[in-house]
Amino acid sequence: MRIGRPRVTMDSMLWVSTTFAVLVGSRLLSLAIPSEYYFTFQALFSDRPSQKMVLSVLGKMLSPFLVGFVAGWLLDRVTRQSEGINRRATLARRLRQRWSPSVFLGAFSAAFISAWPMIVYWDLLANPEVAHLKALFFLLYLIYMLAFGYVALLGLLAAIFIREHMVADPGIRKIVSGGELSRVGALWLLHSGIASAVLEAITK
Amino acid sequence: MTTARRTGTRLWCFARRFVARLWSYWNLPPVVSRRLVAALVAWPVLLFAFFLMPEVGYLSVPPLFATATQPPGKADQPAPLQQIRQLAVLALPMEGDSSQDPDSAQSERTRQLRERVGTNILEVAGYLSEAYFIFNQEQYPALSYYVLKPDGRAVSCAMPDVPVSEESTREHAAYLALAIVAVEKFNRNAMHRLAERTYAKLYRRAFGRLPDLSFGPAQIRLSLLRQIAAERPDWPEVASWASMADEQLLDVLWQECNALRIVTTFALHQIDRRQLSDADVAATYAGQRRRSAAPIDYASIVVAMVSMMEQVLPDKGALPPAPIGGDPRP
Repeated sequence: MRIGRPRVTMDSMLWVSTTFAVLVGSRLLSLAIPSEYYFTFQALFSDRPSQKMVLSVLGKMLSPFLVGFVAGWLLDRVTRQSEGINRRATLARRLRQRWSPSVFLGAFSAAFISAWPMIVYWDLLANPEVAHLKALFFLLYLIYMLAFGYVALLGLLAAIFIREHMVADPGIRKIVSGGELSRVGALWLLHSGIASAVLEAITK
Repeated sequence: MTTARRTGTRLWCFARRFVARLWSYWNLPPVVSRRLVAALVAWPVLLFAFFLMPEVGYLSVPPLFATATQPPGKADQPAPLQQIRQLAVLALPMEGDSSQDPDSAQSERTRQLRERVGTNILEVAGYLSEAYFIFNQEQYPALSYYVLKPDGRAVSCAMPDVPVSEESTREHAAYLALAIVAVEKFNRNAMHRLAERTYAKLYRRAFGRLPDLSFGPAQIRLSLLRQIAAERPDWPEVASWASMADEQLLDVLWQECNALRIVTTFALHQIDRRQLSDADVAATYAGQRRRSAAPIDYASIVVAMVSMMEQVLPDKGALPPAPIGGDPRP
């Protein structure tokens, strides 16, 4: 009988690797994608919001999504290959208690590291036209950081979801359900949608 | 056993114990797993490697997917016999030392960054009465800049009673002083300055004299004031500093209005005696020995601030409305 909530533990390797992989991916995408189609946190704080906001945000979120997806694919594969009494239960427990919080926090940390220099130098580098909206912009930043976490989590769950359907076994209940996947996706859309809409409204 | 031999044996025993302890310390179970440490080293190195990769700069780049916004039916029109299409060209600096600017767009972005930083600093200092952002896309590339109107009280404070050949020189030096003091105030906030003054008082009680530190909103050393006073006996206001006690000078420096006037006097002195440019005056004032081409550099920011204060506001009716975040790029 289980008493209380399951204990959440962080996988430090997964956390660090997710953080830096998202940063590396973002850097590569920023070199590959033209600036008008790429969202930057610097642009959010300065005077160059991207001209195609929705596409730019999607482009920016591509890196955490791909990192989460690759992490989910590899973790699922390694766990399924390992010997054990109940591999499915192990996979489900690790996903809930270790991988999901680690990947979420890793992507959140990557967004935080990207934003940190501009947060520190807000008084110096902010566009004078929006300098007085400091508190609001910091709140938007926080929402974008949460959106980063959710989109990485979406990638992680999507990879496991796809792998589970590739090895279809109708007798076994799936670890990641469609409902769970859509809920994380909705949370990501909600956060990035709110932040983008507010940004569009105040910089019109 | 001789004393030397006994000492040598003790030293040898001590060294062996030290090495043994060091070895056992090294072999303790790791606080952080070695895999994690390796990851923390390898990932940043990989990340920094991608930041070393330079961005390729092209000139005359048409907007991507521009054909999507072109009017329909273009394909049906007959192609003209002569077509002129501008191609994107790679902008690279000349090898070796070269003062030529390979990428004018990059220079423009640096200018805008300096203007933005300068505007923020002047605004925080409270030296502005009005500020405007001008965005003019009638020309290519579109022009964007700031026009700042300094506060009248600050300007009147910064006007010293020293003889100058042209009145415009005095006003220019006053703007230079506003910019310099604003930067100094930004770098040393009120808490820092209060701590400096408290330290000076304690130092005075302990050693009987004031330390030669920078004080007040303008961050001026007392020795600098005395040096200018010695070099300018023909300027009565300046010559009077020589007869003032350190405490009196400190009180003068503590007043922002006086500090502004002193900095203008310093600027006029440098311009008059040494024919220095604005950037050189700012660099000399801050004791900046090595100038840099960094976008955010003391002297270049001060020059940008003066330039914005001397800009003339164009006729508002002649310009299209300036959007927030107006992008100067096409």
